[in-house]
Amino acid sequence: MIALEHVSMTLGEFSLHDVDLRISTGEYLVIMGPSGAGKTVLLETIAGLRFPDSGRILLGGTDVSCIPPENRHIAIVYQDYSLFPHMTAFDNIAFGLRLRRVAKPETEQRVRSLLKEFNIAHLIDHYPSSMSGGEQQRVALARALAVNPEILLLDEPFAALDPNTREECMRMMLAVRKSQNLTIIQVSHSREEAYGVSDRVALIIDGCVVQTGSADDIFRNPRSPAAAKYAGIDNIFRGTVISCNGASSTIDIGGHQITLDSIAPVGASVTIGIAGEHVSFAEEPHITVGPALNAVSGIVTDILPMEHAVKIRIGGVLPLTAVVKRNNGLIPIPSLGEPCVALFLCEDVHLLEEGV
Amino acid sequence: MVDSIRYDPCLIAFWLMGGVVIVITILALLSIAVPELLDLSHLASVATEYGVIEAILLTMVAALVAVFFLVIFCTPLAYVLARNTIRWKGMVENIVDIPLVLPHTVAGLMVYLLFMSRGPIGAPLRSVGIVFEDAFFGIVVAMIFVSSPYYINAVREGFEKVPVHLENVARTLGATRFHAFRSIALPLSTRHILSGSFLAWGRAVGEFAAVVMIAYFPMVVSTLIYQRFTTGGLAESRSVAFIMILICIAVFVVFRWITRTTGRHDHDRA
Repeated sequence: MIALEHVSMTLGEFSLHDVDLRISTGEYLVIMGPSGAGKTVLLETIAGLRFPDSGRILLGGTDVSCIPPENRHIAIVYQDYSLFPHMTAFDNIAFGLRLRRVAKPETEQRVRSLLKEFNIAHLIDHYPSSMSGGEQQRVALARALAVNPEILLLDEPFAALDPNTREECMRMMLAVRKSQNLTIIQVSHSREEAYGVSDRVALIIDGCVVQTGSADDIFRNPRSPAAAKYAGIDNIFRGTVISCNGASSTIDIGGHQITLDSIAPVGASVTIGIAGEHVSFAEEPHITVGPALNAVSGIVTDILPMEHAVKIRIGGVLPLTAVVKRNNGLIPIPSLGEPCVALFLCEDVHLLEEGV
Repeated sequence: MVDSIRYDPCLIAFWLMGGVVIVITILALLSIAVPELLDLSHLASVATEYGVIEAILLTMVAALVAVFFLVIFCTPLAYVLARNTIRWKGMVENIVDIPLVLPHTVAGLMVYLLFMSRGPIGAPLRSVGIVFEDAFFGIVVAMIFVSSPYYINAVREGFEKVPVHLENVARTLGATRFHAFRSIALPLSTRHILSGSFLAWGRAVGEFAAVVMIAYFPMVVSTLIYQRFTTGGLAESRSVAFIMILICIAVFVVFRWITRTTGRHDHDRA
């Protein structure tokens, strides 16, 4: 198990603040967050390449905060793969084994079996400059796994790969994890990877771990305004609670009232989030709104087509963004400049915690 | 259309402006080479003079020894300057560059004051038998002093171009910092180390003012040329100069040939 206890450090423009994180043996943790949030610094701190200003890092209960990287049994694969350009694939993979003074025949056998396992046996004498991104990625993984690390750190390892290779690599990582009971910590920007490989996701923003949980939790149930913004929640508003009946509350946002299925103390200033996907349109401009439904009227000010959906901005008292699936047919998509009524369920309005 | 791109007036103007310097260099070479090649017997007699051969050999060897010391002591310095972001880094870099901006007579005076027989370094070393005044090691220290920034800056630039991620990976695979330096940073900076060495060697071979302040004798080539110029006249000094030009060009060609495949895996070449 890896435990980070109140780890803080400052490194130029990057910093970590009081990071508390526990990762079980065999777990696949994906670290996500905006650029410059400190994700790579966190990986390098776990690897021992950087030392925390305060706090401790424990591996299997032992404090390793002051142990240099060469003695931690943690391997790292960077986004650029960082293959040694002056060594062949064989020498790259054999690097760690030679340092451990593994006998020559044994080294050769281990390297060859890894090359075979990763389907790159033909690259044995190739230099990195003559390999494709996917091939370099495999060599980098084989090199990291050659030394039988207990923990594998991956810094956006699939970011530069085409979608097909990326999928293949994700499958490969899951297989590797399963076969070796490896603990994997992967930095990623991709939701696809978070859903594809992670047991758990840790969201890091401005050097703080703001939320941990399943990928679904992170993207569908963000706890704070910052997490909601990262999760792509299009509508985030601040308002004041004007009533609360024990099961639901009504808040006032600049004169417009929104009802949600959460309770909050009357008079409190709160922040709410509504995912664009949860906003739909009424067929008629004058609709009777039921108790479970919120309605906001306005005018369509912007339409942005996307791959699977259309993003529609509605201007009015409460400016909203709706994400409507294309070719659905069931929901009419209003056109630019047209008045419309946007609808969303009370249960889809999330109360966000400030200061998380 | 194609011609108007090929003969871009801006680029032609740049070529013409730069051409002035190139033409001056070629003329300077010809002004020595032509009269020497027209009088080969005189050239041969100078080239076989014991004093000339001795001065040339002394200069080459002293410069090589200077580069040897630079490689041993300044390669680690170049590495820490490239890698560490210590508070005083900027100041250390300025100190490294000081010999670049000093008049060479001033550099020579500094070296002399430090290494003369009564100097703070010269005196204790004299007691163990190492003498700098009018001696081989005097020439070497003067050469080291003036050529060190060329070496350090070239090598530091080489280390800066080696991505720190490569060393990080090596360390997680079990390499100590020194091993990562030796197996990753050093081989990937060979090109810069060699070109820095060559640059420093060239600078050392050409040094006159700083050397002459601490060691007029034994005479290095620059001193010899100056001495011949002031005592024997133009023809005498020109022959020695021409021999030196030929040797330097030969060394340059050999260096290029030796290093033709060096650094083919360097990151900035990949």
